Amino acid sequence: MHDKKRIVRFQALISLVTIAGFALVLWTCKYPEGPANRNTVPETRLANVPANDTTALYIRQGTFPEQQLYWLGDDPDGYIIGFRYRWTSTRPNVPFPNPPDWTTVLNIIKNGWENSIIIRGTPGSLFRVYNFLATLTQDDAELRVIGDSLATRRAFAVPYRAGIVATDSIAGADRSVIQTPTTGTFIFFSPADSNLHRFEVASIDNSDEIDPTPATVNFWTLVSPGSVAVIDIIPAPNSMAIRTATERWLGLKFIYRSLDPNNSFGIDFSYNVDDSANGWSEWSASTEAYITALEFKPLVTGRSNHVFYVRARNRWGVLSPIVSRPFSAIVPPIDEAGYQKRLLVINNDRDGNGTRGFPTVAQVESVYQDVLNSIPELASRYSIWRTTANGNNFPPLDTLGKYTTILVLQEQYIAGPATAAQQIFNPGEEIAVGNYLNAGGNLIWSSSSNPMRGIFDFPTWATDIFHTIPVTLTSPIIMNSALDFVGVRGRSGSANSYPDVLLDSTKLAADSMGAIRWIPVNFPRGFAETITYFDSRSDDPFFEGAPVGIRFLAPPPIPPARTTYSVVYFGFPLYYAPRDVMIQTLRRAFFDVKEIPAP
Amino acid sequence: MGTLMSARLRTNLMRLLLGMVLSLVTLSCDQYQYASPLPGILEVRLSVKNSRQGDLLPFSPVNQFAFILKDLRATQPGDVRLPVYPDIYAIRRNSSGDWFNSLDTLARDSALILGASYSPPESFTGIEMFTELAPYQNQFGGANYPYAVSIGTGFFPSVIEVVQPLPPPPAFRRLPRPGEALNIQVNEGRLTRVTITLDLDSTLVRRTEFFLGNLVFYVSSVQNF
Repeated sequence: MHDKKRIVRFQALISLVTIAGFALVLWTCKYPEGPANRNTVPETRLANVPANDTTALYIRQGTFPEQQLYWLGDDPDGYIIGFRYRWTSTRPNVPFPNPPDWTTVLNIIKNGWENSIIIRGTPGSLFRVYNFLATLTQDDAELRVIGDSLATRRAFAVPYRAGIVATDSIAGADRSVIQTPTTGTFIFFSPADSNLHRFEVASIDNSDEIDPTPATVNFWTLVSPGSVAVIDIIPAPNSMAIRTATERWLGLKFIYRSLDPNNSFGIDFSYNVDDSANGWSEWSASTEAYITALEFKPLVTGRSNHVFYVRARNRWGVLSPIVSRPFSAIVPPIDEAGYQKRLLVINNDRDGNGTRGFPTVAQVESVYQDVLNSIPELASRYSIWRTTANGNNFPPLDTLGKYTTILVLQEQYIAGPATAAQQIFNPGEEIAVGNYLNAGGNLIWSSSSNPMRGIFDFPTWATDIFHTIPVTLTSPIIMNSALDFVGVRGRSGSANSYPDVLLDSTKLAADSMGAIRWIPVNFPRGFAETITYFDSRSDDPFFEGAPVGIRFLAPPPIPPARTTYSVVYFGFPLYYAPRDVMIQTLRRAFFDVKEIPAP
Repeated sequence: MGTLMSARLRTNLMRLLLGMVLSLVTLSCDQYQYASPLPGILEVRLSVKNSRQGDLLPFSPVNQFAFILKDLRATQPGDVRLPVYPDIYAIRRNSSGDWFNSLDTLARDSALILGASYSPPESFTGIEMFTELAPYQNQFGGANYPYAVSIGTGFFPSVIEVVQPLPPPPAFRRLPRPGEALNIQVNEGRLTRVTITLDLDSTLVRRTEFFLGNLVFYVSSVQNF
């Protein structure tokens, strides 16, 4: 009985304690809206930390100022939504400068996103951005849109479904720097013999709270070896240069390379003209530069001397010494806007004996002076260059560059194939004519190809300049050695055609029967057009109606470039045409190259 | 008597049954599960717009600027496609495609047939083409160009290189072009002729020494016969 009472009392006591416990719990939960526990700040750690004796490591392993670092963060009461990092460098015995701004990387990766995400917003926006991006599913159209935008690395506003928030801007990270949100490869600028660097990274948790004690590493690097730029090719002396590149003339070409002791990739170059301090070009991996006259400092018309500078930069940002090479160029006056049109007649004939069919240089010149004086638009603005009076030389390029059109006469070799001694056009002159055309000059050429045959690389030159099928392909079949050429016929039915030409028998030898020999036919190439056709005295079925005269008229330019490279090639010596037909033909040719207005 | 009545009853019942069966057959054959009209014919022709035919790009059977058509389809909304083969008897197009010379006078006159096919008498809202420039065949005169315009004949035709822009334009083309609408109605037992125009003025853009070539097509007419 006594035991039973004790048991009852004990049970009552247990019940009382239990009720008191419940009451205590209920009492402590009396204020559920009370302050929560404070958020625990995240922690950050760095891995792959460079050893403090990086100097020894550098010497032993040949490492360079390029370091790949890893980091991670922990948050006891949440999760890490991002990291921010920064670094600064100094030299021995020099305090660290003010650190740069932090770069914040969101700790998120999704399929289809090649680049990590740099966030530009305020700290308070990090979780908002993270939360939106993290909850996107593969079915969301935004996922693809954001992935595409990240790949371009341009900043863009977060496309919330509720609309854009002005402060929430993100961008794709440079993959060569940030490979993942927790991995980065950094090139620590090392211009001095020894360089001290401090790298800091701090994690950010889902309460937008930042680790107040960032993980930090200090380490040294030695100077990184720089490259040496070498200029291999510069343009030939006194090359022609104009202000605007065209499809034919890209600019004066320079070729350079780098002697890089690291044998590394990622070498960039920058060049400058006439100034080694300001106006350097953008860094580019290209080892070629094309310079127009606009880059000359100062830009002067005519011959001038300049200096080309180039420097290299390796992938660690170390610049090479500046290398320079002088060069010279000619800026032709015809490249000036609004330049007054002028004509140069180049009488490249050699003296005949003065009899019919074998005119002297003066006779040819006299006939052309008479003809040009009959064209009012040209009468007062042409000059004559007689090669025999100038050491048998063609005008130099700076002389050619003063004339908007040149008319070349090579007319007397009609009695037989030109001999080597009669070749009256040399390789330098070939190049000068090409350069002149590239500069915007126009060319009218009165002769057959016969006097030009045998000169250096004639097939290629004539193909390029006149736009004919190469004579190497056509020569077995195109030369008419018979006394058969009596003139040409223009394109029938065309209002703007060249006139028919019937040779003037009073200018030909008495036994010529009104014809000359050794006139080849010329087949147009590419955009060239036939302007006249062979008129055969014997109506030779092969030559009759075959193309003789060719023109290549340049297309309208792509602004800001100008029209360049218009050529009219008569294909026979116009000197032997009657005077009025010479005038008509020349008027038509000068109109074609826009030297005079419409006839 | 009973036997007679029984036989008459059976006969009447048989007639009644037969009548019901015939009625059912007649009624059921009167209602198709789906419409089954006769097909029409959809024919696609090529035309060429060329404002330079007077000088630079004359039409002639001997002049050449060709393209290869590898596939041609008429489309309806919902990814429904009708293959249009070279003619109504064809069962496929050549795997290497069909070659069309846009400078042929036939092309100028809309006489080249890109394809023809029997078609359901329905409406089509688009054309899909798989076309590319035809390689230049006549490698003469030193003109070893991948693509070219060839004018004239004889010893030395005038050959002008055609260069594709970079990156090369896609071979797959959809018509109508964005912003345009198209309705090709094929009628039962009738011919519908669609003319696709190759805009040579836009296709061949003259540069200094070559044409920049990018095939530009558009649907210029739909005729119902």
